Amino acid sequence: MNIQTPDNISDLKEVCRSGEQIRVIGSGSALAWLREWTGKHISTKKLNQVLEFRPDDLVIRAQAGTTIEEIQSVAQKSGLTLPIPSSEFGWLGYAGTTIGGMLALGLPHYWQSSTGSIRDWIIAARTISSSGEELEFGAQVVKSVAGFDVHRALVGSRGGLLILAEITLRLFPIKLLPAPPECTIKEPCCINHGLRSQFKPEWFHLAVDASQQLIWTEQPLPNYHTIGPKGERLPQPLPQVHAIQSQLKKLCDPNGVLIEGWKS
Amino acid sequence: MILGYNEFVSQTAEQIACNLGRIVGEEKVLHGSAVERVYSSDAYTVERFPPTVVALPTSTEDIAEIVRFCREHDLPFTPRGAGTGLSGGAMPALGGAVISTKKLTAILDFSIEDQWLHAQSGIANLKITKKVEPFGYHFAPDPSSQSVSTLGGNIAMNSGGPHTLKYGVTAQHILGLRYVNGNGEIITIGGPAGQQPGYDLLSLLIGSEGTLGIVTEAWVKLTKNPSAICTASTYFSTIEDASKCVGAMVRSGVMPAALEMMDHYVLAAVAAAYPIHVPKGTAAMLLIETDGEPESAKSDIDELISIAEQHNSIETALAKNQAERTLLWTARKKGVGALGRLAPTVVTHDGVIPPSRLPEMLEAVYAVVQSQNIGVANIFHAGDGNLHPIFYFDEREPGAIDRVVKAGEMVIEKCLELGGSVTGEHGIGVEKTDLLAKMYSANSLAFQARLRDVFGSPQSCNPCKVIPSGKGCLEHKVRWRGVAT
Ligand SMILES: Cc1cc2nc3c(=O)[nH]c(=O)nc-3n(C[C@H](O)[C@H](O)[C@H](O)COP(=O)(O)OP(=O)(O)OC[C@H]3O[C@@H](n4cnc5c(N)ncnc54)[C@H](O)[C@@H]3O)c2cc1C
Ligand SMILES: Cc1cc2nc3c(=O)[nH]c(=O)nc-3n(C[C@H](O)[C@H](O)[C@H](O)COP(=O)(O)OP(=O)(O)OC[C@H]3O[C@@H](n4cnc5c(N)ncnc54)[C@H](O)[C@@H]3O)c2cc1C
Repeated sequence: MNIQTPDNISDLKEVCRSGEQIRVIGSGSALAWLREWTGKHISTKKLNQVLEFRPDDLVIRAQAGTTIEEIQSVAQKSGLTLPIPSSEFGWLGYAGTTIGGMLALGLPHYWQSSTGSIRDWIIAARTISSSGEELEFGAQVVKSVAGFDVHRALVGSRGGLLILAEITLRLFPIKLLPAPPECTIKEPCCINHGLRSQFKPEWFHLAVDASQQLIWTEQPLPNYHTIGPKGERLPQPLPQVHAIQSQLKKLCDPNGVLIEGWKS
Repeated sequence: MILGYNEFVSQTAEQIACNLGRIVGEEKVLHGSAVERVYSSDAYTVERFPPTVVALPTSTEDIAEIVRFCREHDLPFTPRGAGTGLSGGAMPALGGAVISTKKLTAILDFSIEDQWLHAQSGIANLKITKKVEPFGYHFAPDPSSQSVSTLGGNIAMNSGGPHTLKYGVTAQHILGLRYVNGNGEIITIGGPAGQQPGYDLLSLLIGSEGTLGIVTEAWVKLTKNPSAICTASTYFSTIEDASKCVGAMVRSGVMPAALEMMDHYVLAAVAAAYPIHVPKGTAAMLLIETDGEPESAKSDIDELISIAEQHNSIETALAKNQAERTLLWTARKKGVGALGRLAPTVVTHDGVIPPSRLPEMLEAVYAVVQSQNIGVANIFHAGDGNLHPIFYFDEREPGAIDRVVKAGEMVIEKCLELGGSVTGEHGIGVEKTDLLAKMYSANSLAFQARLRDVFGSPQSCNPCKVIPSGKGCLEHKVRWRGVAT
């Protein structure tokens, strides 16, 4: 795989300015979830600095290539955390993975009922567009309605809109989190999302978060939105919605430089 | 360029009302001087501009028709809910049509099992909770205006409230929207099961202050009521002790459901209106609430109370029953209204700072009003650093308005200096359009302005708001100031 690893944000901008098509990655752990791409990859591995940690305000600012573990270990000293269950509970797949990847993938997580979705954790972002332009969104405080929430909209964008360079996250008190159940799934999993009333009793031995209408399984379940390496089953968005999404892509990346991660 | 409709188009308001009435029904279209007065501003009364007509649609389809009519006739249009906005968002900045959601108040469907409710956008926030209360659920966003402010207004402003600290703002409780875009097309995004995977459009629409389209219906999340709630009031003899205590509570590892502060100026006004007890020598009160399972709610409130004691609180009272809790919350939620007793005019400001900087910030606020010779009362969401200094003054006094404007600017400058935001809840509207440039680069603002193109929303859809563009807005801004009352 052709991977380039810029040392700093100005190098990253430089790479963008070359105009060559790229896929931005963090640790690359989720490549199996993504549309195939054999061209150039840009890794954020070296953009891994924690820039500011303000425990009194529940806020941390770090470069996108910082690992989830690094954020957790810094936050933990003040009784705070980024609430993704760690491998000690048998949960899969996040050793060495980055906060940029976590956000751009935008998956559901186990503590969603008590801490909201990953989208609710990002409060500001400094981003780089595919033409190397710097754009910032959000504010460095947990509450702000100044301007449009583009930073939130980047969650789940799978690298296709703007490149996350620096991210400000809201943290949560460790005390708040109930111990998650042991994860029974040992294979890369599918995450199924649908209405709880359609859950079937025979699925309840699987990992279920009924309050968030989510079921983790080894194979996709029928009749649900499913995201995961073993098959994605996304309902086709309504044509009108798809048209707006395409316009958003055009605004962010007019020349189609950033490879979109969503499988069609 | 958009021109103020009132002056530049040949048809009279009467003709427009008549033509529009022919399409949607004449009972749904109002015009005339009384209507112009009522709909010329929201609760930010500093800026006013009269609408040409006011439309009162009863369905999504009506709104689509009205928007198409406006586009055909080059008529600006401005969505409006209950008009409680505090930054001029529902003011028809260039005249034209105000599209009010007053008659879109139906609950269309709901499911307790799947925890969602589908309603029209003009429903008052509190009506949603009232509907699902018997089942033990509520709609979590709780702006103090919730008894009147609408779901659509809450969505457009991404409103928060006292319980935002724990439960999040409106964005976190919206599963789907139906809206009419600037071309009069009806678009649905998400639904009972939430937004489909793919690029997230809801985050852009929510908080867009009515500039990207008119929300006509929404699917909202229902939140299960906690099994226990503990509410306490704790009093301090100095502002400094109270504000330091807020920081200590935020970093304690307990997540309060609410953490509100009221200073003695507010308490004096509130105590005159409601039978609340305020110990002698109080400079500030914190209203704290914890919830969850009975033991954890109780142990959390005990921990917060002990933090208050460590910060020299002079008295603490735990609400013993629902009546006492309701009284405390009524005092908090009606506190702004009670301030009318202090002076003929009050103006509420809104800014955010990191909660750890609260002591410094409040000191600055009191110094600012002293320098400008006006009064201030503080009643705000302390836990998330969302300040609401309320200036009170007599606008008939020469120079008072200028001093109030100056004081507002000084407070916001200080919020920015401390690493905060120019608005935590009340939005940009017309009031703070100049301030966005203090938070974002020109590139970033230009990018945000182009979101209108992404959503197919012309400048005539709620013109001159958030990121104004076009000469018409600049020219008219001078005029709004001229008619300020
Ligand atoms: C088997 C498995 C199960 C998992 N289960 C869960 C779970 O239940 N909950 C959960 O939250 N997470 C889960 N994860 C995700 C994991 O925690 C990481 O968040 C994820 O793998 C992304 O990290 P990464 O650095 O490897 O990103 P990558 O795999 O490198 O990239 C992921 C996506 O993000 C994009 N991207 C990466 N960096 C940037 C950037 N700076 N700017 C813009 N786009 C970028 C990429 O283009 C790609 O589309 C799981 C992962 C695996 C492999
Ligand atoms: C006493 C008082 C207390 C308040 N307390 C709080 C508080 O605690 N937290 C808080 O966040 N705010 C608070 N506010 C501000 C205000 O109540 C909120 O912003 C509220 O959400 C506005 O709702 P509304 O229905 O009155 O909207 P309006 O004032 O009518 O409109 C507000 C904005 O939303 C747009 N809009 C309205 N309806 C729609 C729609 N259907 N589709 C698209 N755009 C639409 C308008 O164009 C305008 O830009 C308070 C205001 C007052 C007067």
